[in-house]
Amino acid sequence: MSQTVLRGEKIYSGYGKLQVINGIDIHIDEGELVTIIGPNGSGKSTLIRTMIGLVNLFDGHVFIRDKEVSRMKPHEIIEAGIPLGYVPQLSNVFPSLTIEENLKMGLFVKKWDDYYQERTHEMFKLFPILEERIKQKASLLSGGERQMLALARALMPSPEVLILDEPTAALAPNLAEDMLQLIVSLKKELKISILLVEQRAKRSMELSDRGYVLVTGEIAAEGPANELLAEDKIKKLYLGVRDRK
Amino acid sequence: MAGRILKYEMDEKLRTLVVGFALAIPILYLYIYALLAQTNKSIFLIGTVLAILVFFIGALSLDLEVGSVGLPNFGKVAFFALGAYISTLLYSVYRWPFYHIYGIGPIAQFLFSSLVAIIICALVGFLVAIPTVKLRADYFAIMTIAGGEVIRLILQYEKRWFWAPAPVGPPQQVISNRAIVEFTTGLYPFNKTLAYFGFTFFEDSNLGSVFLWQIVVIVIFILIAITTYWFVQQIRKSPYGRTLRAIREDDITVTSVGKDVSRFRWQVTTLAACIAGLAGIMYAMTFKAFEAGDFRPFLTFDLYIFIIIGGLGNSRGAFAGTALVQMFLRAAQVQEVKENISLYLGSESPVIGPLFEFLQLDVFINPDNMRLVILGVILILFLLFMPAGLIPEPKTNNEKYLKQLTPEERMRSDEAVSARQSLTERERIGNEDTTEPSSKF
Amino acid sequence: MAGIIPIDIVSHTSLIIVYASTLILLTIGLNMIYSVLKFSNFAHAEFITFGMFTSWWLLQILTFALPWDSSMYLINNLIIQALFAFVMVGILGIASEVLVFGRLKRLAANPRSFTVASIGIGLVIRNFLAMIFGNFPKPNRGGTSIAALPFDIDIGIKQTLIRNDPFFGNQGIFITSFEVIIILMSIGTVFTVDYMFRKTKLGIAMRATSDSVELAQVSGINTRKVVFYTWFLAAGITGFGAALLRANQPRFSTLDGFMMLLPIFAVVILGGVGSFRGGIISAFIIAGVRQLTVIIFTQFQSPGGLEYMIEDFFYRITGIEGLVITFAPGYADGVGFLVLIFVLLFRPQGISGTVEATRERV
Repeated sequence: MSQTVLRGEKIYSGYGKLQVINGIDIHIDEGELVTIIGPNGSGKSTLIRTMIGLVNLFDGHVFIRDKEVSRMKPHEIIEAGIPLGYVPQLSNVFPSLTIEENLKMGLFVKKWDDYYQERTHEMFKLFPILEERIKQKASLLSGGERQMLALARALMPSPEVLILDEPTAALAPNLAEDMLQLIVSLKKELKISILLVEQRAKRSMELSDRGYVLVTGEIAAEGPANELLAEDKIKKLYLGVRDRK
Repeated sequence: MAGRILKYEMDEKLRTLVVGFALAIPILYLYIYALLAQTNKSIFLIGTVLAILVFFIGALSLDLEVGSVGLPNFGKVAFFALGAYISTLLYSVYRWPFYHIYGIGPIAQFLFSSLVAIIICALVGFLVAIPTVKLRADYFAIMTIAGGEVIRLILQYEKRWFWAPAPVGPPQQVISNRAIVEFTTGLYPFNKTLAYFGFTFFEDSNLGSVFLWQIVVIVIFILIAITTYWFVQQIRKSPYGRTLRAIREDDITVTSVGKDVSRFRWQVTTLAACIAGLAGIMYAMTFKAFEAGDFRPFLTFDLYIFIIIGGLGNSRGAFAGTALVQMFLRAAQVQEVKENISLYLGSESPVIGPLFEFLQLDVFINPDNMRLVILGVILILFLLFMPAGLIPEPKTNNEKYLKQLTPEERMRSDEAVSARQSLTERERIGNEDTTEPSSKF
Repeated sequence: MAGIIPIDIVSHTSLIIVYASTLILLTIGLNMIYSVLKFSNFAHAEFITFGMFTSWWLLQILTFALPWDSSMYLINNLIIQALFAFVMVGILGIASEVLVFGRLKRLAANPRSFTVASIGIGLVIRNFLAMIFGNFPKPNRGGTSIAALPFDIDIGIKQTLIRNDPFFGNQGIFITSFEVIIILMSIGTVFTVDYMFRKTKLGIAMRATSDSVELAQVSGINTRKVVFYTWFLAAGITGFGAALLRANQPRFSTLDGFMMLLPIFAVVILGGVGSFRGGIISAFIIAGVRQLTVIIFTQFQSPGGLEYMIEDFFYRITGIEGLVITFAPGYADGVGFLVLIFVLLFRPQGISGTVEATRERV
């Protein structure tokens, strides 16, 4: 039995007075790729943003390893020595900063110079494209390159769990497939756990180990990915698979 | 749950009532105090009513832009100035071309000069709108302040055209409007007091005497105000007004359904310029003498205070705000009130004297500035705690559809809308703490 | 007889440099707020007024509390006054964030509310100062010197460099020692702030916060703290500049800051939001255009100038006198805005800025 890296217990959260997440239990184990799927507005993004402290937690608990991080702001979590690897959906890089500065932002609270060289070296091995354009501003990158820079930035502090919010949303279909493959290879190479929120439900579910199906802020189904894929109801409703008969 | 719904039902109305009374009662008290201190009470009253009507039309014009279409125009004062200057110069100074025609001359001249003033306001409004309506809100604000200042500078320095020629000596910067005086003084029924016609209410209640012309001017102003109000209200209720509100909320979406957003914006700016020009003409008639220095940006800020206290995007709110604040300002100008407010804090004060002596402060709390401090604080408090104002904008043109919903549905939809709005704003500004502690439910 | 060049070019140039330096010094803070917090702070003008009055107030307190003959050096020290203004206005900036802007941000108010709120804050500060210190222009009594400097600058009088030259005519320079300080300080501050913004950790944190608050938080930046630092530095630099400006003026009043509002916004918009080096260029453009307008319009109004020529021309045609427009040098205050309008028409992001002035287009 492997250890749990990120765990949420009975999470209730939302914006202002509006409650979006209604009591969700979720956990990610070591070395796992977990996908959350669900229709638009079901609270997928809100759930992961709650877990890293970007959205108000009304009730419940969040643990990273065994440390409780409920109601801590992101910078407090990081200052407590827990690196966060989070790539948001929309603004995933700092456009007015250079690529070098973007990467440095990943190590903001640590001493930059100590880790910076070895970590960037590692990132350049993973994403060679970044090394060529190190002095350019991030706003000049294309969509796919931007996503790579965002991944590199999130991986800089060597987090235990990488949280990705729809990494393929703004990408062309072939690039999206590359990106999913890249995520799988990251999991294998770096041996980290990954929590993925995806709209390409079927494809990402095929690649992942476990999955959650979220509907209106509640978990409609959960389990190993192949079991979810096999279930007829989920197939029809959320995976876009039609009966051929 | 039921309690929450009831609380929601009560919340808005109760808050509005409480705040409304909390504002209105002290202001009314102050006003009545100031009124009783006057020797000629009717003149004070009539002056207040006229000022309220003038600034109400100005506030309507501003609210049409800020409240309906979301353009923060800070150059409104320029149209006040243009309306006042052009109508007065044409009627009282140049007297061209109709004035000397026998019989209908003055009236024709007056109507002509007013029309010219409004047309010029529309033209200037259009010219200012063309380059500026595409700008972002804050750039638009600064550009309109700048435009207003440029117009004021022209009125101030162009002494050949915009100063009043004096019979002897150089032209005068102060311009006096003779419209009301000429139409009323000496003309038979208008120059008599009401008592002359057997209506002795004002004299009986010891309010001083009221001339018929004052009543006539008030009635005309009220008619103009009602017409403008009706006109603006028609615009707000029409599909055109709905488009304007949509532009205010999200111009990109409106563009994407095929509406020319810029066109709507300059149309509204031009229309609002006309209305502001009308207010300027009335301003000139009410205050009779003015100069370019009266039209600094502070006048626009006053209009903003009116509409934000009253409630953005609705004409009744503009009236409520104008009436309250004008009464407050008028009352605070009265000498007796001033004497009660002003306060001396300094080295000769009883207890705190040594402290103030050490701080080298001799503070004469000056009522002229204090009323503006109070107004500024009220403005900020409204922005923070009651952004909708005293009379919030109606949620729909047609209340009957709202009434078909149960209170619970209304509450849920309101909460969802506000959450949605805050989310989109967050994304748009992208610039705030998303993790502020908020009430646990 | 003056020479071929009838205008005192050197003197006008020195005036341009002084005015531009003042503008640079006063716009750094506005530009910081604009680029980090993404709204235009119209209360900035009143931050200037506040800086003027607090520095003057310190002078009054010290004059009263300390014996003049032994501590003149301390009392009369411009730099101490300016630093005091730095701290006081910095605190004012933080207070406005805590009391108003921070709350507005949490309400997710629209940009319009920020504009109106900053104007409301300006109204309150201006009238509060007028209430406490009086409405009328204050003479700069007590005097202030730049005693803190190791060297002594004494060029407070007009120095005529060239007199009755056959080619140059009269050329002189008119610059006070305070103006020398303003020039030096503005150059120093603008490059320091620019360096801080580009290279230091705080500067990168500020830029990151302005790009995306959420991402900055996830990277471990305490964005609240960064916002406070921004306010303190931006308002403080403004107060510092205001103290220097005040020392250079014979008298000052509560309206002085408001009079600077439009020029400083013109400089920031023209230079480009977030670009301090663009601000230097634009300050010189605004100051130059202003001074040129004064020179040219004064020439137009002089006997035999353009104004008289036009009037004469129309008089000969129509027989009516006064058919001409007035070229008052007072228009100089407005000409900068016309430049600004044209710049916004053709280059909305300013000289070297990244923020577009126009609304987002689809």
